[in-house]
Amino acid sequence: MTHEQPDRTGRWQFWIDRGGTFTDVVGHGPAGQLRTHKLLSDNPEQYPDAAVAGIRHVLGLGPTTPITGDLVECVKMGTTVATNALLERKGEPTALVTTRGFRDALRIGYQERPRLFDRQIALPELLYSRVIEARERLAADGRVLDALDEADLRAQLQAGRREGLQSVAIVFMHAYRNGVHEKRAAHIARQLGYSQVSASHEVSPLIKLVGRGDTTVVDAYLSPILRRYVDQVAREMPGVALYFMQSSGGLTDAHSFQGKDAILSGPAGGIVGMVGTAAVAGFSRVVGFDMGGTSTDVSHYAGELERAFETQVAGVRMRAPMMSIHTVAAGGGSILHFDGARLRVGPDSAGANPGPACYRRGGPLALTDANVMLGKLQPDHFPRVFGPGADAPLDKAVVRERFLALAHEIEHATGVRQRAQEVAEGFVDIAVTNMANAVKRISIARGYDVTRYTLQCFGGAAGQHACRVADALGMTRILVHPFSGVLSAYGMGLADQSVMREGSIEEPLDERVWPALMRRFEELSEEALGLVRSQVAGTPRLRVIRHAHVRYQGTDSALILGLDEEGHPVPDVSALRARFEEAYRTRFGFLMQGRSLVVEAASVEALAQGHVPVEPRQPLAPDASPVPSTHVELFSGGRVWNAPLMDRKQTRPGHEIPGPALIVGASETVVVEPGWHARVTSH
Amino acid sequence: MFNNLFMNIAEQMGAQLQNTAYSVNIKERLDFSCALFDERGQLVANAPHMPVHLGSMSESILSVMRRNAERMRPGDVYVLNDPYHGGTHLPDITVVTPVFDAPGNRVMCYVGSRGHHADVGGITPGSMPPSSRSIEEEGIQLDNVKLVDRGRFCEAELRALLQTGPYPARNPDQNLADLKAQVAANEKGARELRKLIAEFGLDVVQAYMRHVQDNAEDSVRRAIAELSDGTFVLPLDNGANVAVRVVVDRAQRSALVDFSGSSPQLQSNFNAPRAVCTAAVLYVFRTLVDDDIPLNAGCLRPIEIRVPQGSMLNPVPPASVVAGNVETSTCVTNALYGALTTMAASQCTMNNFTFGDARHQYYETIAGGSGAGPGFHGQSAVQTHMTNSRLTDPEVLELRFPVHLERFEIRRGSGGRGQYHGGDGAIRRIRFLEPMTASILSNGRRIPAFGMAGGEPGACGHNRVERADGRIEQLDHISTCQLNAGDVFVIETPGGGGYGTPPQPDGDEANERQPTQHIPSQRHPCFNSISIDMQAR
Repeated sequence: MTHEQPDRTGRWQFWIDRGGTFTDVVGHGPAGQLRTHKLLSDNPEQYPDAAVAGIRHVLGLGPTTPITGDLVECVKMGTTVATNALLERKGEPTALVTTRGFRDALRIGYQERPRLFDRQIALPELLYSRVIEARERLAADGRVLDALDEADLRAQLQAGRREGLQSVAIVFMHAYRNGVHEKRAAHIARQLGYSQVSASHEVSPLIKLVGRGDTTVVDAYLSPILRRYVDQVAREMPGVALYFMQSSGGLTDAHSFQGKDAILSGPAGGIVGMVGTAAVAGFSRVVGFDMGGTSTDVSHYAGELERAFETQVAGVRMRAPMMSIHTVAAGGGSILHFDGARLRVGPDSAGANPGPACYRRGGPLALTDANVMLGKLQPDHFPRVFGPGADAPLDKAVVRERFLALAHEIEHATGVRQRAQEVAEGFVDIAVTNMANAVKRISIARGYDVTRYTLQCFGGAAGQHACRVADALGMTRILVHPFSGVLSAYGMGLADQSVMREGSIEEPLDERVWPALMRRFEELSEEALGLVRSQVAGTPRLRVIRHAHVRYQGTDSALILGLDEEGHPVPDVSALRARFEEAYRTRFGFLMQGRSLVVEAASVEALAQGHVPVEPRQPLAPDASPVPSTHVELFSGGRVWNAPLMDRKQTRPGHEIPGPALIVGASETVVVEPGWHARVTSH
Repeated sequence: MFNNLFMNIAEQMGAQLQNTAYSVNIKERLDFSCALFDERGQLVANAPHMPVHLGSMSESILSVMRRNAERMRPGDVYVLNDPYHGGTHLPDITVVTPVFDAPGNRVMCYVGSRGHHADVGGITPGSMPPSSRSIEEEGIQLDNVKLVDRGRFCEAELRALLQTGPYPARNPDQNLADLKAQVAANEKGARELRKLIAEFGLDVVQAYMRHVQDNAEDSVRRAIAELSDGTFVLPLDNGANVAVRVVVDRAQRSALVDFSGSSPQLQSNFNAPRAVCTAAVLYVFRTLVDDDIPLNAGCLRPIEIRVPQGSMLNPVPPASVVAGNVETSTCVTNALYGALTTMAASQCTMNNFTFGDARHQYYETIAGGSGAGPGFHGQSAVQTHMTNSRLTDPEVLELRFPVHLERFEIRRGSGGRGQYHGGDGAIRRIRFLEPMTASILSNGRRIPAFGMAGGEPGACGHNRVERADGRIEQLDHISTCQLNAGDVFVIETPGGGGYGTPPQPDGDEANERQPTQHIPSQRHPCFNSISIDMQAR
C-alpha cells in the first residue's frame, strides 16, 4: 500500500474501534503507511482510555505526552460506550415528559411479552425514572386540541430538578406532525437548567408514539454519557478533529454525536470496512459474517448500505436510521450444553473470563474448544498469552479430556457411541446452522439469492467457520481481507461524513402531493448539507442521497426506496410507483392490486466523502503454492485429514492453497475445508 | 440442529405471511401461526405467536388427512375454519398444504398456516359477535374445502362460498387476499422442506421429525414427574364452570387431564371446541418445562385429555363458539394452573373490544395483570397465556379511526395482594368522534382472577360507557352499544392473583404498592347488578 496519495497535511489519521473487550487502532501515516495496534479496552492500571493509549503507542509517545493537532489531523472512532450503558442500564437518570393519559404508554408498548412460555414475565427495565404528564393534546392531523398548560408543566419539571434530574425526554402524541408543544416544553426545561433535553419531533420525526418515544428516551438517557466520553477524549487531544461513527454508518462531528445514533457505532464501522474492501477486491454483493467471542453479526450488501428505521435493541424500540445488522448469540465463547438428550450451543457465553476451557482458567467447554478439539485452532500457532504467567499456549489436554468425558456421558444417556471429535463436530454443526439461519433471515427471507454473493468474514472466530457457513448457504466464494481482524477500525477510515434527516409525510402518492414532496426533500437536503458543511474542513466532495418510505395504504411497514441510484432516476410519481412495485415484488413475490400507495416519510443523507482505500495490485508470485510451515491433524466431515498449515505472512499474491488446509495469521486462523480452494488475491 | 432447521422453516413461513397478508390482524397484531407437521399430521415445529393456535392446528391437519386420504394430489391445498372439524373459531382460517415427494405419489409431510381474518361474516362486523347463539350467526363455515386444485387457485368457488348463508362475509376480496398469502407462506415452507429432504434424504428428515417429538416428550415427562394430583373449578362470569382434575402417574411419568364436571354445552358462545382445550393443555405443560425445548406434538404424548362430548369444552353443532377461543381458553389454562398449584390466575379474559361502522372495523384484545407464583410477582398490563397479540400504536389508531385514545395506563392497585403480588390490569379510555357501534366480549367482570397459597384475588375488570352528557352506563361482561360523538368507552382489565399470604398492610409494603390515584372504584367489590345498554338486533 505504498501508492497512497500523500497526505496534504503531513499528519497522521487514526481510525479506532473501541469495542467491549478490545480496542483496535489503525494509524494512517503521513506517507500513507498503515499501522495497527490492538489493546484491551479497559485496563485502568495501565491507561485511562484505550483509544488515546493506542494512539500514543503507534506514535511512540510517552503516557503523558499530549497528542496535538500538529501531529494528528483527525481521529475517527466507533465506540460501544453508549451500547454498553444501554445494555447495563447505566445511562443518565431521565424524566419522561408525555401527554396526559400516556404515562405508561412506553412501558406497556404493544403489550406483548417477550418470551411466550415463561410463567414469570420479565420485561426490559425502563430507562426513565420519573414520568411527568403534561396537560396538552394534538389531533392526529396536528391541530391543537388542548393548549399546553405551561405553569403546570413548569412546576412538575422543577420538582424533577430538585430531585437532581438533569436529563429529560419530551414525547407528545402526534408531535411528529406538529412540534409546537414539544418546543415550548423543551424551552421550559432548558430554562430550568436541564442539561440534556431531547424532544421527539427532533430526535425522530416519524409516526408511532412508542418507537419514537423509546428513541427519544434513549437519546436523553445516553447523550450525557457520550458527551462525557467525548469530552474526556478531546481533552487529551487538543486541536485534533474528532469524529464518531453513527449507527447509520456515517461519521459525525464529535459535538453532534447523539445517544440515539450511537447504539451500533462499533459494528457499523465493520460494515463500512467490509463494503470498502470488498469493492476493491471486485465484489459488489456481499454477506458480512462478523463472528466474535460472544456474538455474531451478519449483514447484507448489494450496492447500498442498508438501514432499518425501526428496530429493537436491548428491549428498546428504536425509530432512528441504523445499519441493518442481525445479531445472534453465537460466538467462539458460546458454551456447549448437553441436556441428556440434545446438544446445544449458547446462548450463554464463557466471556473473556474465565473464557473457554482451553484458556486455562477453569472455564466451561465452549465453541472455541470444539475447534481446538478438531484441530481447527492449533495451540502451537496461537498467541501464548494463557496461564498464570500469561505465556502458556491454549490447553489442548483439558479440551480432549472434557470432550472424552462428554462422549461417555452422551453414550450413557442415549446409547449413541461417538468419538470425542464427532461430539465436537456436532456442536460446530449446530453453531453453523444457527449462523446460516441468521444469514437467511437477512437475505433469502427478503428475496435475495445469496448463492451469487461473496461471504466476507471478519472477527476472530469467523475464519474457522466461514467455509461451513458458506456450504450451508450454497455460497461458493469467501473473502478474507488482510485487515479482517481490525476491519471495523479500518472501516472508520473509509466511512463518509454523514448527516441524516427524516421528515414525516403520511400522504397518498399522487400527482397532487408530488410537488410538496419534492419541496420537503429540498428542505431536508438543505438542512443536512448545511450541517455536513459545518462539520467538515475545506471543500469536501458533497452529495445527497434521498429516500422515500412508501407503503400500501392500510399496511404498516414501509419499503425504503432510493431516489438517486445511478441509472435509475425517479423523476415522477409513476417512476416511484414502479420502483416500489419492483422492490415489493422482490421482497414478497407479488403485488397488492388496486391498493393505493402512501408516502410515509422522506429521509435524506448528506455525505462528505471519506478516505478511499488504495490497495494497489501486486505482481503474482511465480511459485503457485506456498510452502507449508508444517502439517497438522484436522478433523472434518467425520474423518481425520493431514492438513498443511500455512503462515499467512509467507503467502504471496497468486498462491493457491487447496483444502484441507489452515492459514494462520497474527489475529486469525482460516480453515480451508476439504473441497474448498484458497487463492491469495493481487491486492 | 434439525430442531433449528424445522423451526427456521416455520419462522420463514411466518415472515412471509406477515409480510404478504392483507389484514392488520395478521400483519400488525401478529394473530397468526405457521407450522410443520409430519406425515401422520403431528406437529413438528411452529413459529409461535399465538399459543391458542398451537395444539389446535394439528386437529385441522388431521381432519384434512382423514377425509382426503388417497384423494390428495400434488398442488392441492385445503382450507377450513369449521370448529367442529379441527377449527377453533370462525375468524381463524387454516390453510393446509400436503408436501409430496418428487414423483407425486406420497405425502412426505404437511405445512399449515392459520390467520385471524378481519371478517368472515356473521351478525356483527369483524365476526366476533358478543351475543351469538349458533355457529351460523358467527359467519361462514369452511369445512374441508379445496382452495387450490392441482395448482389452480379456486377463486370463483371460494368467493361463492364466502357469499353463502344468512350472514355472508363482508369483504370476500380481503379474505381471498389473505388466503393467497397463506397459500404462499405454505408454499415457502414446502419449498424449504423439499430442499431439506433433497439435502439429507427423506428417511433422515422424517427420523428427525420423530426425534424432536421424542425429545419434547421426554422433557415434559420429566416435568410431570414433579407434579402432584389436583382438582380445580373455575367459575366464569356467565355462571358456567370449567372443572379439571389432574391425575399424575409418577411411575409412568404421565398425566390424565380430565375436564368431566365442566358445564354442559352453553346457549352462549363461550363453548370451546375440543381443539382449544388441547391447545390450552399443551401450552400449560410446555410452560412447566423451564428450558428452551421445542413445542410439538411430543409434548402431548404423556398426557391423556378427557372431555365429555356435549360439554362446553367439547360442544356439538350448532353451538356458537366464538368466545371459546379467546375467553374460555384463558379459563382453561388458569384452571389447570390452579389444579397443579403452579401459580395464581392471570386475567381470565382477553378483553375483546371491537368497534366499527360501514366504513371502519377495528378489533383489539387488551392486556391485563398476570398471576404471581412462588418466588415471583405478576407483571402488569401484559398479554398472558393464550394470547400475545400486539396492539396498534396510539398514533396509528387515531390516524385511521375517528377516535381519541384518552388514556392507556396501568390500573394501579388492581393486582391481588400477597407475599408476591399479582400484576395490575390496564385502563383504556377511547372517546368516539363519530357515531359507532362498539362491543366488548370479556370475562373476569364478576369473578376475579384467583389468588393462591393465601394470596388475594386480583380486582375484577369493568366495562362502562361515559356519555357525553355525563351519564355513566355500566356494561356487563358482554355488551354491544351504540356510541355517539363525544361518548367514551372505558375498559378496566382485571388484575392478576397474588401468591402467598400478604404481609400486614401497616408497614412499608403498603407504601411500596402505589396507592390508588385515579380510580376510586378499584377496590370495590365486583358488581352483580347489571345495567346493559344492549343494541337491539
